[in-house]
Amino acid sequence: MITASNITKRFDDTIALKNLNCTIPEGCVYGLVGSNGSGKSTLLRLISGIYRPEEGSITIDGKPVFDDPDVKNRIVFVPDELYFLPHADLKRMEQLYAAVYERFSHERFETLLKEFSLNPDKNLNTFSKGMRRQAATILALSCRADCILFDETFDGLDPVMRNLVKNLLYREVMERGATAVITSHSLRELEDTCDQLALLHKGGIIFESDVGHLKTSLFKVQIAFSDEYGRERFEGVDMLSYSKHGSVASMIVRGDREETESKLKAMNPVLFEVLPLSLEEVFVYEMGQRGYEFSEVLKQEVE
Amino acid sequence: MKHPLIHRGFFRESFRQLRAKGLIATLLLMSLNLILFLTFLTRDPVNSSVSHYDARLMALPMLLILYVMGPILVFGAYRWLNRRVQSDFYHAIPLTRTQLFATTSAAIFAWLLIALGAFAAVHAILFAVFGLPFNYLLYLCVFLNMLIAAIEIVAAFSIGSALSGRRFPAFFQSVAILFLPRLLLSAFWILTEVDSGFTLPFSQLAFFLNPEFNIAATPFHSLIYGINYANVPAMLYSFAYSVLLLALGGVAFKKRRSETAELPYASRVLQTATRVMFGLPSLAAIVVILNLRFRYGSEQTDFLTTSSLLPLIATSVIFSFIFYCLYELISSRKMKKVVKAMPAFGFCIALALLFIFVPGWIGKLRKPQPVTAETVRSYRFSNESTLIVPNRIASEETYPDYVLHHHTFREESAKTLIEAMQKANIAYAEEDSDWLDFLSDRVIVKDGGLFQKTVDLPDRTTAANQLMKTCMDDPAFTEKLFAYPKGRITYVVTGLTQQEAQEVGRLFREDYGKLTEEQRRSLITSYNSVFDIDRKTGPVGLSIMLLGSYGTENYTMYCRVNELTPNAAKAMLGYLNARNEAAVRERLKELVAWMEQPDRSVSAGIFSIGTYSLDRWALWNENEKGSPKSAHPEAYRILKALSEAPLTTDPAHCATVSVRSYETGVFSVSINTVGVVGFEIDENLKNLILQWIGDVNDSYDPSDFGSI
Amino acid sequence: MFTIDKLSRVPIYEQLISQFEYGILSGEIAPDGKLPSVRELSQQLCINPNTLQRAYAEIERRGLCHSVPGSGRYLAKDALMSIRAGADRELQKLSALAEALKLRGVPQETVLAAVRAVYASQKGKESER
Repeated sequence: MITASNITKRFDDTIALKNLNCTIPEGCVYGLVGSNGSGKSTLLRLISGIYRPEEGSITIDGKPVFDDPDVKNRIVFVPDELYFLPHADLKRMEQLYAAVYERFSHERFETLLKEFSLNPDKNLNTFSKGMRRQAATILALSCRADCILFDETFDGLDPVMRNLVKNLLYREVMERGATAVITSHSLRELEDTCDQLALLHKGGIIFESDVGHLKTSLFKVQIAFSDEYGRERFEGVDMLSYSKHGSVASMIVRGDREETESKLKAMNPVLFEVLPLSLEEVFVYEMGQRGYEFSEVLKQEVE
Repeated sequence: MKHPLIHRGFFRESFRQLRAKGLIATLLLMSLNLILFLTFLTRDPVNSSVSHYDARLMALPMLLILYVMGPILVFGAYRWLNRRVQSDFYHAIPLTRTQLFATTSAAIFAWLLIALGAFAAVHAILFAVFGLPFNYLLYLCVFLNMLIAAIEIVAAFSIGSALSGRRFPAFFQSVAILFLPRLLLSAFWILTEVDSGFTLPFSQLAFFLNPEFNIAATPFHSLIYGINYANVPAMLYSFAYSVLLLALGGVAFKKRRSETAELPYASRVLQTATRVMFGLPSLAAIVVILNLRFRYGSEQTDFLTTSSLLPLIATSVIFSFIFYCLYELISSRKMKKVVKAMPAFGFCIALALLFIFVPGWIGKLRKPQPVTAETVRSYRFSNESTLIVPNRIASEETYPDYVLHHHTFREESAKTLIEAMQKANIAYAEEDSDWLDFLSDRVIVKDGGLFQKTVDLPDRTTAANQLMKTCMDDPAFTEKLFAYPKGRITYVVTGLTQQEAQEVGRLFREDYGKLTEEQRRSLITSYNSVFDIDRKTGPVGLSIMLLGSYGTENYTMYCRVNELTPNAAKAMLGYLNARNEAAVRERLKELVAWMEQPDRSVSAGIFSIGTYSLDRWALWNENEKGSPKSAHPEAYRILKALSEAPLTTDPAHCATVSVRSYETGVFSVSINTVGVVGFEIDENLKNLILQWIGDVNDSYDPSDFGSI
Repeated sequence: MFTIDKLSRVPIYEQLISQFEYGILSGEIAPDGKLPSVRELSQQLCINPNTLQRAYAEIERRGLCHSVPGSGRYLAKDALMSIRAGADRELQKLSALAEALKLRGVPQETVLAAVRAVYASQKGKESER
């Protein structure tokens, strides 16, 4: 379990993370979403022990990560900008990884190499962006770490490769109970991949939730009655928004769906419809609740 | 230990990453050996001069290569510190920062060790193979010194690398860390110096100035002055200092944040400190001038009037300020930061003021420490002292010198002399405050105080000569002086190969052992000492040079080889006769012919009989009529007799004749020995030779032309 | 067997459950048959195993399957019955739908025809087997 409590990280004058708290349970695929500069990469670098937080602590199973090889051996980090030794091919990089990661497995490396069908003798710096990311993934997964941190995980990968990487991650989670933390500036990217999502904005987690729960916790209801009615009729229903066009009212409701359904049906509506929301819509409403404008937090998503 | 300081896997990795650079370092050092090898290979086995093993031969090029390759290796090993992506990569791998530093340093040292070790091994082998004088202990010391220097250079550049995320500031800070502390200390110390160092025990506080302390900080000093690489306290100091620096590097590295990469500095305080360092040098001149003015008033510095001083101060301050700002601009590349940094320029000025005033005050606190005859327990001559051998050659210490420097004297009569000299020195310094007066002859006195005291021997008094005379009254000293020299000795005889010379040397040693002290004294040529010796030692003019090394020190001794050392002389003559007979007879014949029929355009060359050198000008008198034959009938008789005499190897009935020729080069005239042989002579001829030679060149120092 | 629409508004795990039920009803999942493991399914569908795990847990909670430790998950014997028992609820939905259709003026025959068509195709499929 990765626990970040009250961490603050400053760079010179700017504050990258401010009083951030989060808990990532074991065996979870945890998604961090946020625009550029929201602090995703900084958080990953803190978890992987590259940065030391100015305040607060980052622990894995209760042990602080920073400067502790025992803990760091359990983490592998694939940054957004990849680094390979000059003129190195995959074999050379394997030697480097094998030299420092205690749990590095040569067999795993060979298997992965076949799965991605990359040429291990070719200079990595002549690879395309996507191939470089594949190479980094092979190396990272060969380390058999408990925590796999991926920054901009699917950047530059085509759909087939995305699925391959996802499948490999899932395998790590299933077979070894590994925890994966992945980031993206795109919500849709993470939606179907993660169990848990956290939205970062200006160095803080705006909200964090279970993906399955997220999608079912909010739903849209369209309802109409034969008589005149107003908002007050729905007293006791947790509404995030309410609007009425003609006789039909639409509202975003939070809570147990079945319970709400029977409650509303009991009112004998002439029209009653419950619609699921897309994750994006859930985000829009949840953030609206917290006083953020979605378009402000996840600009690219809207563009 | 769970996390060993040096991580094996990462060591292999770092070592591998440095392979190209490490091999270049090795090759560079090896190329020195190659040069040496070619020099050795092309040298003439008989006529090339052989000299002591010179530590600088190896030390200086090694140091220079360390200066280039050390930083290249360090920057190569830590190049990832200057790139965010790389810095993150290396900081993410499961090693502690201390492990990262220690392991990377170990890989750097491993390469330097390989480069230095390979060089040193081949170097030693080269000398052994060519049979040239070599001092193993000194060589070991040089090697250790180089290792220490390597540690220090690596440490300084590691600190610099850790302190900055960009290469230029890292380089500048490293250079400053390496040189500046020593430079400031020395500057401070020199500025406190009131007069010549007669009052304070210079050699004992010397690590403030002595380049042997902190060996890596003084590469160019060794070029000019030569360094005693066998100074054990200095080595310990250098070692401790470099280990301390390395530890500091470790701390700096541990404290360094990964995000420092690509930033010009790790902390603002350090950045300010570096800027101040950058601003300082241009204030140096004005600091020295103002320091002197402050201490001596305007008389000593009257060449600078106030009106000329003010623009000078202004200029240096402006330049200092420009450099100060320039550093900020180059390192941070932001004009905004330069403006922000300006107020801290005050530190520069403050530091300069400190250097102007504080050394003067400290200097004034220093009092002369007089020596009294009653308290003097013992004294010895300092290594710099050359009094005993006024005409010694450059840095080569002669064996008598060596004995002098290693003997502790307790002669009573000398103690009053020392007191008198010290008094004279103080008086002299007071009346004539010539602050740039350096004396090199000094005795070091033990008088029971905490420090030994140094007393200069002023050469304007006769006290020094008197002191020397008393030395010869010390039987313990003279006993050492005339004992056969200790240590490893390489014998050198002009005209003989190395192997032949060693054989002669072995015999010489046997012969020497059978002699009395008085006889031995007569064998030591005047090159070695000021002893009064008989210059007319007869017609056998052979000598042997002893290149000795005892401990880490080298000494040279020239000895005569004559009838007192018959076996050595016999062997030597045997070799010489066999090699040179034809050439010498040829030249002698020419000489005789020339005397009969002189031809100005023909150079008859120089020749010498025994230890007496003559050249043809001594036989040629413009004003005399007729030939040299008629002007010098004795000389003609002698030469004629010799040219017809048979050769002999018996020194008792022998006159050695050496023939040399002038060779006029572009800039110089060189004298080449054609050869030396021994001719058999009878008593009459011998007397004639002695008599005639005595007439001709009474004033010659017989050994002016060196051996033979 | 499963087709997951990742872009759908319906959460993946709900899609899984409904498709599972459909599979039982349509007979694609044989009674007493072994269910594909989370591992297989995850790799096959490229779906987060935790989501699958959750879906299975829900199916198990509804009594549609049971797991045998060390062997895997098996369809419950009465799975078909349990799902059919849930038909009342679905029928309610149908009547709501019929009401809506009625409001829109769709004739009864048309609605019935649609229902008949569904049943007819179901029969067709069965006879194919």
